[in-house]
Amino acid sequence: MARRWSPGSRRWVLLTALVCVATGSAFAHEVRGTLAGADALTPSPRATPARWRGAFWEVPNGALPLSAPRANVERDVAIVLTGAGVAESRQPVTVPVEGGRCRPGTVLLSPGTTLTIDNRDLLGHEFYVVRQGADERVVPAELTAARTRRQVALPAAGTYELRDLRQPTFRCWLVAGPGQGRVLAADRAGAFAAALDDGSYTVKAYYEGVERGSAEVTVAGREATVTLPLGAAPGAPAAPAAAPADNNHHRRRDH
Amino acid sequence: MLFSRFWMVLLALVAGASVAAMTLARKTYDHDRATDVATMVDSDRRIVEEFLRRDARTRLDDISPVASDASLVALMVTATRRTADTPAAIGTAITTRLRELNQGLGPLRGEVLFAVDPRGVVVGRVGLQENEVGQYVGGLPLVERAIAGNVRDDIWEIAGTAYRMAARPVISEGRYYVGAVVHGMAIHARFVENVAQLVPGASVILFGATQTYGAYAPVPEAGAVPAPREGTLSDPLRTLTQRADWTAHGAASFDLPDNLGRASYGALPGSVGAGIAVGRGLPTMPADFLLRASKDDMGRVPLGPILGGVAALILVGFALFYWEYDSKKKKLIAAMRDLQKGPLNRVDPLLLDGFARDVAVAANDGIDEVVKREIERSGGKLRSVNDLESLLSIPGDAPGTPMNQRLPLNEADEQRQWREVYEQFVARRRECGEAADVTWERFSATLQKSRAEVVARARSRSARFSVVVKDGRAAVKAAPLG
Repeated sequence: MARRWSPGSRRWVLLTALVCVATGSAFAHEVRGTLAGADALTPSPRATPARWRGAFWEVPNGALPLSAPRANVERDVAIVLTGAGVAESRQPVTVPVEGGRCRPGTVLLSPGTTLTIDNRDLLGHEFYVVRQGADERVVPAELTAARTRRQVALPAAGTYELRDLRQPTFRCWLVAGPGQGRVLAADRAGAFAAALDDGSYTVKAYYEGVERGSAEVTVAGREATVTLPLGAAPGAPAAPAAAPADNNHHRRRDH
Repeated sequence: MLFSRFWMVLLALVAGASVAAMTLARKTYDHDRATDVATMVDSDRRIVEEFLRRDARTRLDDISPVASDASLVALMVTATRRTADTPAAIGTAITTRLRELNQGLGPLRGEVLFAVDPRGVVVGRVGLQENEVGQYVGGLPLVERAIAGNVRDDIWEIAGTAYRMAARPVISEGRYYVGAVVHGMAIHARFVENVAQLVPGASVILFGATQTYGAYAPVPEAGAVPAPREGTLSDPLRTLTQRADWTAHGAASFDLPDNLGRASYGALPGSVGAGIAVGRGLPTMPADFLLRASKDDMGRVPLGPILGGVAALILVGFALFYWEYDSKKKKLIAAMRDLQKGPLNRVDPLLLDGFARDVAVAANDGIDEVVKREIERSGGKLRSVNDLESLLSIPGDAPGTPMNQRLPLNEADEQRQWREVYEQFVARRRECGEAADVTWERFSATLQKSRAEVVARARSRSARFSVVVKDGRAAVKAAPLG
């Protein structure tokens, strides 16, 4: 027989909950942050296999110049918060793939952590993993159908690229380092927020697998703000010239 | 009979060569047809690929009215300027307008038609999950490139169905990109059948990574080689990625198992790993092809030259046979007739040649043996077989009666007869394996000497000579004459 709460008991439970919420809010303060210089982020050129170049019609519309490729701040930039008291993400780390992009575009995780790729796309993908700058697959290609998941494990610390056999321009960066911290989501304006206990924290921004900015923020009894300037990648050359937009103007057959 | 035998060998060689040539022709035909079919299926695949590209271009052009529709552009501008993440309110209006525009496309009406804002978010949708908006698709290459201002096509697979996709940017006031429209038409069996009409006689399948989207195999005409069925074409897909040419070039051609035909596979680079396969049967010449020949086929055979050749061969054979057999047989028969008539009691082998000469020699030997046995059987005086002249010359004479009742020959006849004896002697020596190096001068001198001795001893007017074989050696026997 189910136990029934008396009206008096309900009042006590409600009062206790209110006290707990009030006590908790007394120690947590919101940190608001903004990414600065996000407009300067440009996607790196991604090679397309030769036999793909003539496979599609991909020609300029002829009425208006092509828009330059730009980073999608809310999806491509990963904001990671570290500091005392910041709990690591739960295992395994899940990265959703939506609309042909990982969100965020860079995933930080501890070595040995299992990564779950959650394909929320309309389309299937054949994901595989290579070390950054190399072509040897450390995780083999395998079909991940639409609305399904796949788990992969990275062999060691380092920076990896998650690629898709079906979409050669697909990229997602996996940074296996000392710890992934807590991932914060930015909106399309580059604003982000988190509720934190008092203390000192470090906020880092990653773009295409590289740390592009870092800032310290201290929470001391009230709301804090932080501006995270995004710079060029360390040791990165000047921004590459945009690839000719109409290099597929003439269709070619490669086989 | 040398030439006749050679002719038989030649005819046998010709017959064997004809059979070999027939077999070779059949194999050559099969090989050439296999090469032709291999070239043809590769060409078929390229035709289909080119058709798909042109089809994509057509669709890209035909959705221009959708992308440039003033009402839709205005709605897209509103959607772009919205502040909310989800375009719930404007999404309904855009979907309604898209539905109207899609109807206006007629036969090119898409099973999927949606609009995305510059951020890559769906702001209106007709077709699959109709009315659902707010999903992000901006990272998909088709959408990403369209938002950037390109017209682009692709192949998508959604919920087990493949779609031919086309996307165009939406431009406002000729100055701003306000998103893109994405149009998709399903690949179904009817579409594949239409594609297959481009390559008559070939079977076609469109396949994805895990399934076949559509297939068509034509019904073969009477007597034609059937094209491979869908299952035959799709079976090799399991191992296609293990082929080096497929991995390197995205295309592979090979013979299907069990001689079921030849197939060419080509990848359609895109978001679903799709591809096409074209297959044709391998025509081979059946073993009983002669029985299957039609009247028209028979009419194309050059009977005139063939029959002329056969007649020429027969005539040559007859000529050789007459020359080596019939003509000699006639001479032999005539010699036998002469023997029968007399006065000769032997067949002169020197008047014959070839097998007739051999027969004549054998007949002479046979006659000798018969006479010998007859004498022994009759118990008469046994005389030397070399006295054959006296035995056969005068019927009724007692054995041993000399031939001196015969008239001597004149000078010319005697020389002619000596000449014949000489030739017989030489011939018999050859037959007996002796050297035939006796000269006529020496031979005739010996005969003159022998004649003088016979005339002196038998007191006859002359002597007659004949050639006999005694103890396996040729010898000349002299008998008194006249």
